[in-house]
Amino acid sequence: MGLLPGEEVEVLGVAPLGDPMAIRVGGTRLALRRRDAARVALIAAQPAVSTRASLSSAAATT
Amino acid sequence: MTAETATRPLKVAVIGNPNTGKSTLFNALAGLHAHVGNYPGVTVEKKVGQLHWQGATIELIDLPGTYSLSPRSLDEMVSVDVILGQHPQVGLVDAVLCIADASNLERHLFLVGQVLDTGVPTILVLNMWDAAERRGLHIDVDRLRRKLGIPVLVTEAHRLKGIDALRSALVGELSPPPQPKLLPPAFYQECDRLADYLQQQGLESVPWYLRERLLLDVGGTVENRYVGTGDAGLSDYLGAARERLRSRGFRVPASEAEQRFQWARQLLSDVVAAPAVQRESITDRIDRWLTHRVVGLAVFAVLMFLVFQAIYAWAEPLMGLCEAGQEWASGQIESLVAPGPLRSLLVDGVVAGVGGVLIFLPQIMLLFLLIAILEDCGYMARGAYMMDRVMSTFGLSGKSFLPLMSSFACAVPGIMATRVIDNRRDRMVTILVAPLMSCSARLPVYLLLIGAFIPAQSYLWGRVSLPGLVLFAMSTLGLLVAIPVAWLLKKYCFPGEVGSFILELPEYKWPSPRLVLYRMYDRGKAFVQRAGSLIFATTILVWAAAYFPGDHTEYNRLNAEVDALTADLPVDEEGNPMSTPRLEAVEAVRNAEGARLIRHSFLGRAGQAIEPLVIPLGWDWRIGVGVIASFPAREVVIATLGTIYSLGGDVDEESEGLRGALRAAEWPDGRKVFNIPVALSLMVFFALCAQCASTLMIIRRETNSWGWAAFSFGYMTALAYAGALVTYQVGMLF
Repeated sequence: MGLLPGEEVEVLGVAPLGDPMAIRVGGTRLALRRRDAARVALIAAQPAVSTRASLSSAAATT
Repeated sequence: MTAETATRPLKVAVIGNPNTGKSTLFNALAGLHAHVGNYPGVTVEKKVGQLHWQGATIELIDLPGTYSLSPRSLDEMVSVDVILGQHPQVGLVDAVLCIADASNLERHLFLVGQVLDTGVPTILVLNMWDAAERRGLHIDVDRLRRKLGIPVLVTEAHRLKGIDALRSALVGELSPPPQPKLLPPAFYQECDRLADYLQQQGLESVPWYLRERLLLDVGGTVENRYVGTGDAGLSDYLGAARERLRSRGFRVPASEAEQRFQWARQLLSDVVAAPAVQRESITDRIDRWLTHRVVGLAVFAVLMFLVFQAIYAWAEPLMGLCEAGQEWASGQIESLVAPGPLRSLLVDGVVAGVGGVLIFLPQIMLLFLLIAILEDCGYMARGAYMMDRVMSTFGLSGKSFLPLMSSFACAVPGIMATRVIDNRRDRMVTILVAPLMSCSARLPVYLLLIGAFIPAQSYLWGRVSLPGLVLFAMSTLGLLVAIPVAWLLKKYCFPGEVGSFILELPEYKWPSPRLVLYRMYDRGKAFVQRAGSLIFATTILVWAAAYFPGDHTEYNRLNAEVDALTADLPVDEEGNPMSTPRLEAVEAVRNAEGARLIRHSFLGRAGQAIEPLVIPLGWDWRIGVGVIASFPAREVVIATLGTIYSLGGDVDEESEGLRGALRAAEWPDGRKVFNIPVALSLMVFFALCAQCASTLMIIRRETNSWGWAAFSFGYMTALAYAGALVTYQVGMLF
């Protein structure tokens, strides 16, 4: 269940206590911690809400 | 299938990503008659179901939900071994049923691609077809079938749609799938070279798929397995092979994921048509409230309170029913069987043992009913999402929250609930600290000792009472100790980098009543079958230790006399029986005889033998005996103290007699046994100890190892001893 280079990532929100964040990748909603999210490099896409993941070093499957 | 296989059951392994409705589909196919067991040495549950269709028998082997077949642990390796027909407990597998979420096909094809690589005949099931339709997806199933070259079926398991067609496909002609060979040619050349190398090393039996894994999973379970078989050169060979691949543009491990997703995207490019604009789904709208900073936390708190209330309070009437049944059974036996070892065995051993097992059932069933509902509707993942911040401070994840909270009612259902935690290390740590949470069985012990020894002072204008404060302190002590324990366990027993925490937040849906009820039934059955017999056996053993080798004839005679005197007591004007001096005198003699018997029993001797050990805690041997006797369950200590202080066995935490007897107890030199530090030291011991056979048996069952059960007992007893020692010694300074 990895994030892959070139996938579009939409940030849905942040958990009430500020840590894991909810994102949408493909058709899936995922929660990931900021620590892990920091390893994903993003390029802003046209609409401000969605951002495009590129060059992701976290591109591994778990 | 061919004639020769028609005589034996077809074996079909069922695999799929989490949240694909796999359990629902499994139950829809096989009904409720699944056989559950364990694979040796791992925590994976082995679940096998059977179905009969068109004259054939099919055996379904349910594998744990997984996103990939790249094993990183022995638990994950089980699935790979089963599919490859290499698991000794399963044997050859005829086909794999691979379940994917129709509304989320691209991600799920990752696993499908790996399953196809195994070369085992595969049927792909697109489940949750209705969810895909709701999202406006159009999937050209015929084209997908042609492109993959395997049967592809569509189901809605929760409505039982498409199930018969799937059954027919299972008994139909199955052939090995065309392997997609979706990785670059350089990789397959390297696979062939590895095959030659393995042949030289006498490892030619390594299946094709495991050769792929050897190259692709750096430090993976497959590599460890074959490096472990004594071939030291393999490690170096693999390093060199991966370097060669890198120089040809294939980076291990990142490239596998890229290539597999690229394959999935290409495959689906003319198969799935999605609506151009994604509408905001109902789930998004619900989530805006249920994970809201204030509303979300409030809803979560209310739900958790309800769950807790359910196992703590709602289970009470059912547990009362169990107790009433136990009393009735004891009464029946007493009227049928003459006093003696047999009666005592039946009443104090068998009935008490069965009762000790059944008493947990209402809590387990209720907790799992609620968990199944929360899980199936999709809320559980949100709870874990919101609580992750809190749990991550001591090295766990949000998924540990509910099991730990449930353990405040009872550690047995709490530990069973750790199955929702997919990370093995997190799950183990949660299991090991769960018994520290202050469960409901500790409450009677606290109430007895607080009632007897803590002065009823109050502070802050009567708002805060000292007994209440002590009760609160005892109830939170375990939680406070659990934090450093979890941290230490994580650091020393389950070391490793902090795994990245990724949690899928599935779509909300109505829970399926079939699945919910099945889970509840399944957990209850698992508890009774697996832990029940062991809890029962422990109760019998402790009974025997307390009964033998004494001669009980005198005690039985006195008991009969008490019964006879009680039967024809005079009554007062209101019709209540009035005690007589004669009855009280006989009762006193009987109770003294009971105390004498237990003092000379094996248990009593053990207590006296360990007295030097418990004296530093401020205890005398009688408290020591009470503590040993409470091994089956903490609250047993009250009945044992009652017997040993000559009160007969029928006492509870409210009984004035027992409180008085504890206050009056003396050392041989006339000093009082109990004072406030002794009472506190005993309470601290019970807050931290593992005197609960049921918990230990359930730890054994869930970890599939006696070692971890022994470890829990050992570390908790050591903690309890140290805690009690410090409490008493510090307390005596004041």
